[in-house]
Amino acid sequence: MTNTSVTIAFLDLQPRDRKLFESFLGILEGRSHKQLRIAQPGEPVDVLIVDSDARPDPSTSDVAGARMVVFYGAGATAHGERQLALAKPVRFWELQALLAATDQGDAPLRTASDGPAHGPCRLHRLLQDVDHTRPLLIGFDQWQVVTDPARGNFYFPEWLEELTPLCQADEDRLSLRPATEAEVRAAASSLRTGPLVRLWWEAAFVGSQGTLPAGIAPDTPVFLKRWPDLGVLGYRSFYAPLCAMIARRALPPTEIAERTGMDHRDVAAFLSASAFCGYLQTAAAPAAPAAAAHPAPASAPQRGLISRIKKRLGLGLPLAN
Amino acid sequence: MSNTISLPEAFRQSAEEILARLLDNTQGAYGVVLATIDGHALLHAARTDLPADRIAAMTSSLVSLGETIAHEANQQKCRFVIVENSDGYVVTLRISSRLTLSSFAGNDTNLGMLLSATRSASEALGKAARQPSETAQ
Amino acid sequence: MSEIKLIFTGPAGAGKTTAIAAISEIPPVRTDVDATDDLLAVKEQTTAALDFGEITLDDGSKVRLYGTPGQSRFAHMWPILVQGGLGLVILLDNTRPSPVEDLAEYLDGFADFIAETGAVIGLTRADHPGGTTIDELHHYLEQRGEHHPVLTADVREEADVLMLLNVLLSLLETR
Repeated sequence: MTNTSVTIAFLDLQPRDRKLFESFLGILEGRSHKQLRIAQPGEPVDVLIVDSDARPDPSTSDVAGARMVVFYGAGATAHGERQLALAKPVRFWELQALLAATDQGDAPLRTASDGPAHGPCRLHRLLQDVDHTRPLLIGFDQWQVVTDPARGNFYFPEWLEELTPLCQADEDRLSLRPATEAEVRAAASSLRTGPLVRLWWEAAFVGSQGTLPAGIAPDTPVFLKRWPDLGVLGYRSFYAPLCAMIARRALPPTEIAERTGMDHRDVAAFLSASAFCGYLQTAAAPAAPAAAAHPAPASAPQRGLISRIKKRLGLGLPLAN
Repeated sequence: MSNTISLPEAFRQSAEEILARLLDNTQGAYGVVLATIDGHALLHAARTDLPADRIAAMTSSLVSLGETIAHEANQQKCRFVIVENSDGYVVTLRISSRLTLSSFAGNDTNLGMLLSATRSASEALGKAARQPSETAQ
Repeated sequence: MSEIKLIFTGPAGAGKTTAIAAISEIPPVRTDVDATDDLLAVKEQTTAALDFGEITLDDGSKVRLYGTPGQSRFAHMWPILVQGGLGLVILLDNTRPSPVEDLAEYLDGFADFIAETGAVIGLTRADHPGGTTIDELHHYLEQRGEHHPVLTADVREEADVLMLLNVLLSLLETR
């Protein structure tokens, strides 16, 4: 059953964060045909957003009555069903996916903010069966997305700015065929333009479903041939430490997860996206990329200082190791 | 003397005379640089080798820092930035919105005389720069 | 305790002051002077010494955010400003004639500091028609035998400035 009205409450959010949520909610209300309201005291709450940095362990009474509890913080984790985690700062698409999850009734919640593994995620698999270096016309229900590899662009309807619905769609909603030059031109003039790497990245990240890319085992050392342009991808804050971890040295996925303290599924999704976009390379043995310069390792006090700076800027957890 | 940026001829002649007078009349002075506020050397006169272009840029930094520090310290109008070294002085001031003047002297100078002579030179240069069609570009 | 600092550099107009202002707790202190040269076509003022902002850590320590002058004749300030710094953000303006040449200037000018610490490169106004591409910048880095992150960034957006710093700090953490 689709909810037409969603009540939202905040617990211990910083004014700046609350303002961000409220501005996103204002936009989403117009797009989603739902009424999105801040819950009044005593009113039933559909979505309770808790600042998990300020309140890492809310009591039962704090969250009682909320249909869904969202833990929002630098190292937020969800603790059970009907709970989700959102990293700071919230991205518009994550909030969109979260609100879509309120339509799921009492089923266990998963949104893209949990990582990959949401539904069949067919686009990535479909892309692997075609030559995606040539222009493609991707049909998604009644809409079309057109890729233009020669210009490094893709063209999409405005409402699909957040790619999650496309990348998570079931196979029966998708179609894929080569696009003609005329179709590419028409799309370029009538649809929004975005960097193609963003579509490939998101499709692979979401579509990997937490599994490693073909040819890479948990103990295969991998490294980045070059840094992905995080500025044009659907940036998630944990990309930076993952990229940094394998920009100067080759490491196997198991060790990447261990050193960063990240879920192996998130690491796998990151590596799948990196591989699909051509950034990733395997190494015969754990070895540093030849071209990398290696300054002296950071000392423990310096790592501690960097962690404190990251925390101050709201940039996520320090590395586990 | 030499210049690194083209100046209107009338202004250049006046400025050269002013700079020469400062050097001649100030005991211990050995160099003077007229520059734009953003660090381009316009004219300089010196008794020794003076890297006028680099000095112009550096004194631009000095003037801007001096003015900023004054503002942060709730003081008005930075007049001089004075660098006192073991063997001499560097004195810099802003002539106008666009020009600065820096003078350099050894230990045998009298700092007060150096400041006075530099200020007089800057007033004369400011006046010459305000003459019609004689403004430095 | 020695000063904790992060340094922003890049050509005039690339957005150094804007980037610092996006995250500084104080309005950036500036040392701008009127431009008298061809910079005037781009902006009216140039930084002659430095910009700085700051943020406060949980123990009260200050992290200073320094912006260097962009024009090379003020390069005398560069080694002064980077002394003891943690790392470098290089901002490039894609509307300039040659961002690759600009990048070369800053990689050369800060080579020793970068070798000891790390650098992230942010390309601003990246969608400027006819500008350089991220690929071209990477290709240039590969020719130099260097390997730095190169990211599209709009430094008017706090999130993009935080992304640049997240990348730089992550690099420093994993050295």
